[in-house]
Amino acid sequence: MSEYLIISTSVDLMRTASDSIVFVSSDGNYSSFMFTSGDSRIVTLQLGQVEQLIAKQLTNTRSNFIRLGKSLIINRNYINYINVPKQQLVLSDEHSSTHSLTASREMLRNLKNIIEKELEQQ
Amino acid sequence: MKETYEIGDNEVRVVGGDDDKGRKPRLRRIIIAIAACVALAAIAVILAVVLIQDKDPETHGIGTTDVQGTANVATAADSIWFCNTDNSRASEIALSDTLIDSINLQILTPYNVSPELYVGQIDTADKSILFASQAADLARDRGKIVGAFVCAGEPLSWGLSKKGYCAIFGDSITVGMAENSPLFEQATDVGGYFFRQYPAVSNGKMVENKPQNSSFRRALCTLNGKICVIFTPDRVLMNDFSTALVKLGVKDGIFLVGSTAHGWYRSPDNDNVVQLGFPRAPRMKNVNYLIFRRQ
Repeated sequence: MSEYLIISTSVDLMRTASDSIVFVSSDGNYSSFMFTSGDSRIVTLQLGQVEQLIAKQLTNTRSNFIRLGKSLIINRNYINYINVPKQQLVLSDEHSSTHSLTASREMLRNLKNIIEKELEQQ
Repeated sequence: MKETYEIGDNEVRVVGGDDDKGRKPRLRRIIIAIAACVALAAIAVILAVVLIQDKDPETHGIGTTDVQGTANVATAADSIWFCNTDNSRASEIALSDTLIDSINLQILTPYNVSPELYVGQIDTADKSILFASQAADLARDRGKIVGAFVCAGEPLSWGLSKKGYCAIFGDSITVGMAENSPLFEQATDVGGYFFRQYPAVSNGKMVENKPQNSSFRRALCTLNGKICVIFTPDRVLMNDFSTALVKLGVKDGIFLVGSTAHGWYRSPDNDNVVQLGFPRAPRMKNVNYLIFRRQ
């Protein structure tokens, strides 16, 4: 059963299944959610605050989310391709939604290491 | 929401992991630093308001309006908006030039125009457009717009890459420098426009930038209570250009895409198109322009 992330402000409330979030990107004091449907939504929270809410509310699926530096939180279930030299990170549900992001080489190297280490531990 | 999770530029971590050792002491330092920054910013805003009111009354005189912000009063209320309305003139682009520190500066001042951002291929034959110049940078690899960008209320790009910004609401335009600006969100609310670029001048002071190459430069500036575009017909260093803008009297300014980027204006003499860069527009999906339309 899906867990839901709820973000409530004084004027609105966003409720979304954790597995429908592909990534969250930062825009200063705002954060932009990108969903598998292709839709996006901006919330008036900093990315660190979104990370806190994920850690607090998604007790079973929070470890699906990986924070990449100051500007991104990604859903690891949608990691499709990492190319360190090209600084490319492709997130895809392998059906309809594909997003190609740019990140620093060091960050992608660290991400690749995390995934590889977890593979070794399995 | 008292805590903010701190993270390094290239750090990667699993959300909710156990790697929070030592977070609190660092957090305390950050809170103190933020409090100090907020206090300094508040002082700066108060000083700026006092200086604007006392020393630069003409800035408010010609087609300018203060906009009351909704999300961040300090930043939005501090924005000064320009229309360049002059009933004695036609809807036109006036050209003047000057020499500062051996740098030739060409100044394009629009009068009675409607500014907007335009995404896509632009038609130089469109006589309603008096000026067009590429606005936000595009990423070299995939051609995406770099930094936050709103076109007619629709956000097309997010993220802070450069601290300079330009916002357009109706016929009013403002430029400034801020890491976070409520004008991005306001632009989405009111069908406005917003883009990010390198800052050149902020509150009359030159802003240093990292790129060190010589190139043809363009900037969107506020000068003598008007919005204008200043460009160089010669290759100059980014920081030399910014210094020259300060000496000219520019109060705030941000760079536009320079070098040989596509851009043009209509001569006030004969309405002919005068090219600023390459005469052909780049065939990229997200190529975007700041344009001034005839009213």
